[in-house]
Amino acid sequence: MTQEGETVQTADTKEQEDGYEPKLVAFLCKWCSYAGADLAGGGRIKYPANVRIIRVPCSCRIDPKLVVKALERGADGVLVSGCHPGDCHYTEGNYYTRRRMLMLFKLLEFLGLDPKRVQMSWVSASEGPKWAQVVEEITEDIKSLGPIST
Amino acid sequence: MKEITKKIRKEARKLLKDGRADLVIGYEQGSDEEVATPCFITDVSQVDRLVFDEHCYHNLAKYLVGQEGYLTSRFVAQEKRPRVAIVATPATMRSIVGLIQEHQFARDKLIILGILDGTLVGIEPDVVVGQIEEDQEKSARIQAQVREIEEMTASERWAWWEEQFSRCIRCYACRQVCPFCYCEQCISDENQPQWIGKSSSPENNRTWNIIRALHLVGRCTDCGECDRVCPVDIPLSLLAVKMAGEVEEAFDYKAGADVDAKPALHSFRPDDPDDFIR
Repeated sequence: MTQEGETVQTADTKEQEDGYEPKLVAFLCKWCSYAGADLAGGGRIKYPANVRIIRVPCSCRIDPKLVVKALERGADGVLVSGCHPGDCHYTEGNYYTRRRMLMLFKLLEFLGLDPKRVQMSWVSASEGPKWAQVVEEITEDIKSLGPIST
Repeated sequence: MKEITKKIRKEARKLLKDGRADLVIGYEQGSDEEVATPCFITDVSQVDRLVFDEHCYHNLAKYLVGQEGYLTSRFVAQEKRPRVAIVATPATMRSIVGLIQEHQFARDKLIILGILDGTLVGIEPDVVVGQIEEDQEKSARIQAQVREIEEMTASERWAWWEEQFSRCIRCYACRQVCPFCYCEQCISDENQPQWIGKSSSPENNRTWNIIRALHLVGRCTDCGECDRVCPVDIPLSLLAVKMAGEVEEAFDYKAGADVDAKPALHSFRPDDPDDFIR
């Protein structure tokens, strides 16, 4: 809870102060990447507040339409993250994700979206620092691209 | 072409007379000589309506599946469904392969009167009724156009596609004509949640066309029907050809080529490409 008059710094308030801040939506598998992000938070590792995390049961749950919809609704970039190959809690979900996302990325690239706007990573539950680094890099990427011109 | 028509009529007559089929799906002459139209023959006396010529390009596999499809209709009890024979061009046959792969119906539910053109079809027709020439000029033209778009910069591509999609009037003809759009409820008709806005705005049109194209990745056999029926000439074949190329390159899979294969996005290999992942 915050005191009256005090503001919490979020990506939105930061934008009002410093100009453009990209909105990054991240779909994280709850077994690995979400736990990895949690570890980063628990370990007090600093990473940009531009990321909005959405937890899903498995990276395989991430229908490409979720990514498309996030971009339509104003996200400047989308990150899809799941367990490393072989580590999926449901044995093989992330292998399907990998195929699906590759095709999504290729299609979006063909339609003229910069490939840096939609990215994928493998982040395990113990990779807090990697998670912070991935978010850092992607936020930088998208910042340099600016908002999607529509 | 005359020969093919003759052979189709002969086979259809035989099938209907012997009671091996209740229905023959084929083509008949349309409103003038330049037009052919799909027709449905259930009686031997009507067999002479069947024709085949260069205007018979419709993908008849559409009539087999979906809510009202002859082989899958949920309004007709299984034992009351007709035994169907179908006049199939190579494109239709490739679609049939995909539909069998996706377990829409079994191979033995369908008698295929196949017309071949030397291209790969992953299925053996019951009867080969003729040979036609492959339209290489058309596929070369589409390939060239895909390469042309690939060579544009990202922002040029974006602007180009925005312009194409801006014409979309959301008539869903592309969906209605596609044999692989057999869902009983299309995602574009859903309201809660509404994934795709229904009005024809730039965002909605873009989302619809992206999602439509995505749902056909690894399944589309590139019959070109969506492109043909589009009333505002959105070049949907470009998306189909581009994605078919990507599927083949990444997963070594060709839609419609092997009836026993698992569809590309319903399977995986541990060594699939992953150099795009951080």
